[in-house]
Amino acid sequence: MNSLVWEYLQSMDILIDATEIFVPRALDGPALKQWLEGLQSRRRSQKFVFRKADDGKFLLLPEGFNLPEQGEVDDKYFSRMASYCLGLPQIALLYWRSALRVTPDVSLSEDELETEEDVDATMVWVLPWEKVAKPILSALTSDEEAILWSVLLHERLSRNELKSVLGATFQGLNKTLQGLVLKQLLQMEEGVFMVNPLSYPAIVQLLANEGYLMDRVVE
Amino acid sequence: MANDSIFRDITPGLIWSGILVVLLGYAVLRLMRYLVDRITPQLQTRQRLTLMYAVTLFRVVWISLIALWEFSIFIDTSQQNLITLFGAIGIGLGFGLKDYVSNLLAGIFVLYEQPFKPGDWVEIAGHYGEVVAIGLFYTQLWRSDDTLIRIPQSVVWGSSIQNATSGDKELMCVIPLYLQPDHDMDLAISLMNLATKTSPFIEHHKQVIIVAKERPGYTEYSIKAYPIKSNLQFRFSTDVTFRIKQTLSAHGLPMVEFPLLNG
Repeated sequence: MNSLVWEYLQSMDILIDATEIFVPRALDGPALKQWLEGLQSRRRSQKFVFRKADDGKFLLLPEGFNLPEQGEVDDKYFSRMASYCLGLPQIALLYWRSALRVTPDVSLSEDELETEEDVDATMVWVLPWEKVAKPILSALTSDEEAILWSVLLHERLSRNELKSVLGATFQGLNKTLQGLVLKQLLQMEEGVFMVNPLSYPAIVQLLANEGYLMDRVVE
Repeated sequence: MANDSIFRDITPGLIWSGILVVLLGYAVLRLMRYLVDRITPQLQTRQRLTLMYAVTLFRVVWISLIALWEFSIFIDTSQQNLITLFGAIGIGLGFGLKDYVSNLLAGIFVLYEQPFKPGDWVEIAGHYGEVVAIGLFYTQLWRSDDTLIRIPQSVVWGSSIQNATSGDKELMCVIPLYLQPDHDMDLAISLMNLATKTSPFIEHHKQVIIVAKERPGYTEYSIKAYPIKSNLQFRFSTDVTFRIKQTLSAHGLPMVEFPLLNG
């Protein structure tokens, strides 16, 4: 059961306020960095150094690896990523993967590249956070919002289940669903619709701003 | 010899100035409309309503400025000329332009007093709908039957106005239901509460209130709840009515067949 369901049941008076609910802590920047470092350290056969593709600053270093003398670390990258991803590590990991590149930007100077020769690991370049592709949500229709919220609440719903949840007044479900899939807000697997994880933070933000019940405080 | 005309000497330069000012005024209004059309789809409900209100105010101020500018180009603003001009305007208003100007003045008062804003749900002169625009001469309402109503500002100013939202996006819906008097009220209220809260259009942060009244021959219930957006009020009411009737029927709680409304 997800935390939105708990919130929903509480609003329905099915769970009383005194019910203790434990939700995994959202990761902040340092915690997210530590979690990604942990994932990396599992791969003992190959070491990776992650650097920003635009200015060469270091993001992640393998365990026991010393920062080169002229190297600089970007402290804010993971904080911004964690903030956008609402502290959810699995979503942050998807964005992290989408940001990885094998070559740096052409704008990187030779001085900034010099440190590459000093390190004994595979260099992986990471897009600056502002250049990582994120969904841009313009205002959605009330029907689209109702579908997204229902799918979030139930985690995954088939077309028939959606019909049942949304009620008799809901018309044009197929067309609206098709539009949401095309906008990459929903994805469909074996006839079941679920929210596209990369769009999850933007959807939660938008629905919270529009007054829908949400399970976390969105700033 | 002094010029007795209230108008300045009309020269090609003066005419060009007048035309340029009108074109400038028109171009700015068109540019603003273009920008608003581009920007509004990106905005969320509250921001969109604020922008609509700001645009209305800007249009009024801008058109007034352009009119004053034109006035100063063509009219010689000496004291005697102004007295003559306003006298002529007064006579003109008295005869042919009375309604036009009373609308204009009422429009200015409506914009200044702000009895409602774009996005509010109001009832004016028997028309209930969402305010979509407040102009100098008309207020435009979208009725629930998808009809655009233009109400002259003089009518707006002279009517009582019921504002269901008062600039807020929250709007309470009151949904009536009539049950036969011999039923389990505890069960009925509990089912109505749950059925209302399952609507996908409900504002969950607000409480659902159910009021029951015993009437001769039936029990009247009023379900008071908020839709997530005010423009969903009719859909929300229909959805809640459907859900409640479905669940009451499933639990054998009968609706009254012929309520004797109003006693």
